[in-house]
Amino acid sequence: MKINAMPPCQAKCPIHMDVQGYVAAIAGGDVQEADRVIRRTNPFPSVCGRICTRECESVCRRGKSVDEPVAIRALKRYASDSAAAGAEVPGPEIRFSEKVCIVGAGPAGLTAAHDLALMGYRVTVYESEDEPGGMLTRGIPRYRLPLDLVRSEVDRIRSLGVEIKTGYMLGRDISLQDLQKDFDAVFLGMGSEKSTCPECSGMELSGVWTAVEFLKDVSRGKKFNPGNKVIVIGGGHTAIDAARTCLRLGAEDVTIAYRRTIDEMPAGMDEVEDAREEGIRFEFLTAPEAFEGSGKVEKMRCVRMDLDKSCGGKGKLTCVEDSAFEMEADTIILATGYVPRTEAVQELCTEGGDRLEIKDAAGATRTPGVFAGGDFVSGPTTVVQAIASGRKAAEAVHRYLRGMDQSPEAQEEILQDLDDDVARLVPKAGREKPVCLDSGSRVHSFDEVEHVFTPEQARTEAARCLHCSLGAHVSRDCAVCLNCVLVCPYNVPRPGEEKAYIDMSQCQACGVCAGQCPASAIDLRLEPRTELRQNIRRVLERAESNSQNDFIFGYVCDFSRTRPRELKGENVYTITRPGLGRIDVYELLVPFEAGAREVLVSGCGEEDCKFKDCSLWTRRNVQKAARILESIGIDPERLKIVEG
Amino acid sequence: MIVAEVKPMAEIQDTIKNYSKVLISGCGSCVTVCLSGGAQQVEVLASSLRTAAKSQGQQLEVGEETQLRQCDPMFIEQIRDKAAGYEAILSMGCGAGVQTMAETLGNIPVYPALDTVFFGGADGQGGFVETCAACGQCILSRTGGICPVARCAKSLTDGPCGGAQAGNCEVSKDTRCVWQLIYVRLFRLGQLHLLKETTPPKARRVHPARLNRAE
Amino acid sequence: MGFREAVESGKFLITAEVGPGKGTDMHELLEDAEAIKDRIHAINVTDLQSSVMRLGSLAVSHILADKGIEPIYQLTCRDRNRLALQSDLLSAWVLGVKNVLALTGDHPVLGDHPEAMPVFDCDSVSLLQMMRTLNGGHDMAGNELNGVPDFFPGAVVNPGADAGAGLEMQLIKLEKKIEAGARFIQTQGVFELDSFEKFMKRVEGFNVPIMGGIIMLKSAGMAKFMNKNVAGISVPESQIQAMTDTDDKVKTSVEIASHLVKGMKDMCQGVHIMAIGWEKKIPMVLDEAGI
Repeated sequence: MKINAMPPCQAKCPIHMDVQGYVAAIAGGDVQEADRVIRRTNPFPSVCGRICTRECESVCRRGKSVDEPVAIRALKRYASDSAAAGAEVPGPEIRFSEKVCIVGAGPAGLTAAHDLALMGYRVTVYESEDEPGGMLTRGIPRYRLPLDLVRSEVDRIRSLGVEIKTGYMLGRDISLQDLQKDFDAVFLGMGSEKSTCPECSGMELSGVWTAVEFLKDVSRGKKFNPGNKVIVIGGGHTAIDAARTCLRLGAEDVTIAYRRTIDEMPAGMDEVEDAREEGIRFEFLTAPEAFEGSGKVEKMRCVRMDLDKSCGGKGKLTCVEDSAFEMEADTIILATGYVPRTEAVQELCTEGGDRLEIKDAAGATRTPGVFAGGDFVSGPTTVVQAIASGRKAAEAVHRYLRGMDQSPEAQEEILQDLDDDVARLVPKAGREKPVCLDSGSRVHSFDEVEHVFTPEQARTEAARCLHCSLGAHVSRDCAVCLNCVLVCPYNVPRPGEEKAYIDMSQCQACGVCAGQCPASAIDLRLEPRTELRQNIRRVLERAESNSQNDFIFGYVCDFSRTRPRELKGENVYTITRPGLGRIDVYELLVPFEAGAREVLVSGCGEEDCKFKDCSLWTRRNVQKAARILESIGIDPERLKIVEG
Repeated sequence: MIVAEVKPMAEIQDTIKNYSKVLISGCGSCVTVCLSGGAQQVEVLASSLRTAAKSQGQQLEVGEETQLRQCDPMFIEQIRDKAAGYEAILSMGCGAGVQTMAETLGNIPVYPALDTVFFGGADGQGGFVETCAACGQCILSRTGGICPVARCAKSLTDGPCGGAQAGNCEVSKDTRCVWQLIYVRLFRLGQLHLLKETTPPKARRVHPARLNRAE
Repeated sequence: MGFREAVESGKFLITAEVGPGKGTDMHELLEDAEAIKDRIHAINVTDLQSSVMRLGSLAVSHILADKGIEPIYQLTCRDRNRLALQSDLLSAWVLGVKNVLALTGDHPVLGDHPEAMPVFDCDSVSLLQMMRTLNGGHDMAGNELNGVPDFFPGAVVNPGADAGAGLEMQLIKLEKKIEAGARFIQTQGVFELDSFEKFMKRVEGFNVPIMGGIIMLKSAGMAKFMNKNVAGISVPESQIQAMTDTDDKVKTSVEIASHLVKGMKDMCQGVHIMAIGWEKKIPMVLDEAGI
């Protein structure tokens, strides 16, 4: 797909996943296909299906203009959880002799390894810890991301021929110079795990932890008793993760102290909500001054902050005078920020600084052949950002090794918002909610909180996709009759300068106009006519040869949940389509040409339909075709609409 | 534009009953716009005829084709070779299209699948209305831009007959009397005085009319 | 005194109407005409009324003239082009028919041959101009006539046309007809004197005698039918009720018609009574109206 035709969900996704593609496959009931589509761009579907920050959903036009966004993340999880394990990505067509080394087996490094392996390179990954996965295995708590899922994604990457060597730390066990000698290119993706701590006294007290250390220890299964009262300092995902983990370790009173307000929290609102549900308290505009206790921490002295938002950005913080107060604590966890460890790669850093010098968006460093990415470059971000960074780096490594120019950044041009006048006509359909463990019981275990969609939920939810940008387009055969203007249930087409103009941003892809275009000049990007006609021909040929003159041909809507009994049984051949308003008169008649005994059209009934007026146009087309049948002496009752 | 409608199926079947290889030819201009003879209608008619033939145990091969404009020999030339492979042509063009095709192809019979009904425009609701009679002596300047020649059942040019009821024509109760429309338009334009002018009977046009490009 | 002389002398004019039938039998028509000839100034002969194919008005007009009953030859533009219209007019003149009522005519689709071609080469205004041209010794093309007629042309108006644009256009067209040479005007059937009086105020100064049209009601059903289907006719509820309640429809019908004649005597210059088969009752109407 051309980037300028991207729907917002795909454009916003850092790795431009074909969201519509897999959502459509789920709607049509084909989980394997959905998984294939997902894996084309994402080596960590089961991870992203759980902990992705889902920027796609934040821009979903259904959510922006109609009701609520499509539950894209939950659908992705459904696809990857339900797909059979056999859905392998095909291996590379060409193999290159060059060897590439990746340092750091987090999502950025592993994605780069995955992509480069698929391109045909030999890839070795060095990981300082004893298990690959980076933050996925040692930062994200189990109740959000079960460990075995990450392991199985890593195994898939291994299965592409990637060698992962654990226990090798750059600067300790291996050096950059050696790697440059042994490999043709190097990618550095060592993450951003060095905690930055507030300038407080009492940091040395026992019971004061950094969140990364804390979560890593817990994930390794280390027994940990946080005591009763826990204070977590910070406002990001890690702060929330640490706080919720403490609850699960038995703490009863967990407070997150953040120096700004809820509006500035980097953590997602849904995470905040989940935490609140579980009983975690929040102290906003609160900053630590000192941790106190004798040997072991007992309390935190802190001050109230004042946030002046008028100066732009995240606002200016100042201490409120005489506002000091104390909070008791058995454990204090610092989740206030992380920076990359750059000691081992000083030669790549800015003069006298400890920041990596990066020359372009693909992660080229000042040394040719050495690239860097992920949190190691950007500081802590999200898993999908890390994947995107790994992908870009893989592309850059490939271009470097092949002597190609580095590719210019593609200009993304995304769809306009839905006009109010169009949005108002789109039938409303509330978002499906996955079942979650109730907040009372979930805090006592590390069981995954959110469950996967049931198949019914998944299909219903997937049917909510608006197919942005997959709507109608007008070919040069347009006779400018403007019938499309008259029939569109959403009033989208307009007379254009040379032909009818259908705004891609507004079209709902119901296909009514295509079915009514007398010049056959309108087609849909969502399953084009040629595809449909080929399908019809193929199915009719099969029907003709298997059950000559004694078969039933059915058109079934992808989005209808039940299948009428007339369409079950022997000698029934069906075509499914996303919506039936687009099935034109010819398509209703042509099965009779092939000898169909009956042609049945199975929609979902008026009230349920996701497309406005779809049933109306289906009915009109059926009536029109029935009249033609009558005129040629064929019983019009042989063509009918059946409902589930 | 020219407005046409598809002939009754029985009549179409009758005209081609003696042929086993027929090419249906649509027209991409007026008759596409009025939903009667465009590419979509061509495939619908073709499929219908094939199905009908099959159900009656007859052999019928039907080809499909649509020209940009059937009333110009230059477009017909483009399908000359294809047409040669058929015994007859069923034109879904207007009367002008059928004749241009018959004239250009010469030795292949061309039959109409449409009835050409009038000149007119879209009514904005999916229908078409007769608005011009091609009389050759336009008087729209005196009738507020509404033609009584085409739109009055009696083509009266001197005002309405006495038959209008509730502003509707005596011939069809759901058609506004065109003189009612003219009166309202002239009133709005401040040109009611034009109604007092008498229009002499028109000189009738001699058929066939011609328009030479050189002039 | 002939019809033309009556018009020119300013007398209160009385005309009636006969409709030739389908076929050649004129027996009843002639009997009706004979029965009223002494009470009226002339009898209109309709021209394929309602576009139903019948015996022609020219032949019947000629036969009436022969019998000394003065006809008003109704001539419509529906079936004849300008050649036929001029030729039929000249034929009329040589057959002794002098009064011609110029009409546009109903559309053929309303009659019993709905597929017939509607001609309407001319309209009522140009038909009147045509007669003036012929009276002046020329045909429409400007050719001189050898032997010149002297028609006495009349025209019609529908006072009950839709209020507003409908009536305004009727009045404008009436002026055009008068300008084109109409010497007398007969109106569509009138049932209410108040509204007719208002209409007459609108045509004050037109300087052509107006003859109020009176249709004799035969039943309540006929009244209702006309209200629904005939342009410009509105029979008031009181008259429909009277026709429903009466034991003697003829008597009531005559009462209604004579009341209208009486009323019109002071409003306009004559009456045109359309009895539609009840021609023989016309003398009773006139008697009761005191004429």
